[in-house]
Amino acid sequence: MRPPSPSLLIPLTADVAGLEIARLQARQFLQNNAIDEHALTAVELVLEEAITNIIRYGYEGRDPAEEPPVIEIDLQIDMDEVQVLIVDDAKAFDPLDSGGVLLPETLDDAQVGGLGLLMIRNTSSGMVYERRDGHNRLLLTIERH
Amino acid sequence: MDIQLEDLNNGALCVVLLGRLDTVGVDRIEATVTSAVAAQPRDVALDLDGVSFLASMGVRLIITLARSQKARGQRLVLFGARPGVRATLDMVALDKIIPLLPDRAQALAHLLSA
Repeated sequence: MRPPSPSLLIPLTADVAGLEIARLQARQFLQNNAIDEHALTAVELVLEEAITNIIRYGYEGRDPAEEPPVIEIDLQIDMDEVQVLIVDDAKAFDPLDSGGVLLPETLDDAQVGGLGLLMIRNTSSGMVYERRDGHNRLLLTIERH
Repeated sequence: MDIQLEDLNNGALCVVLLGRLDTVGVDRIEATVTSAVAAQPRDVALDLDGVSFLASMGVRLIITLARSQKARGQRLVLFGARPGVRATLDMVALDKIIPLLPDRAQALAHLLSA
């Protein structure tokens, strides 16, 4: 029987400081489990982009004092992949359903919105989204090698 | 994230970026970089050699700087991107719309040639 996959659950506050603390915790966990720098950077990139989107847009119009945001990252290290599950109770947002970004040909037509999603798509080998019990659940797969 | 400002010998401004160009890093330096670039109309070279990580917030900052330079009739060039940062620039096709040179000497030569 194979040993269980190493995993780490990181709850974070919905602000930039929370994102930074979570990133450092994720980095330490991945380094401790011999994840190479390339895969580690890929995990950092998808966390940065996905969580920045949640913090900036997910809780618009909601009073955090009345209803504190809940965001969690669940990392799991498998044989060939790192699974990054991001769960939040922000507004429903399916990143698979959003339009793609056209790559720019000139400075004038460069879009600054949607770049984060483009990076998540290009960095992940798998993306699964589900809205369940009032929560967004985004599962991203990062190849280890 | 930190920055250093240097004058190039053609009169252009070189902005040396050091650290992670992510949400936290951009928050830290954006106002300083923007005001340094806006201080006087001249060409700007962004030194990316010390940038260890580039996220979309960093790409946004670069695009914003390039647009403000263009509006003033000045240019922005990038140089020194390491492989990981270069891969992100390629991913969003930034290298297609902003000149990206290998090093400082070639960035300076590019600014002098046009």
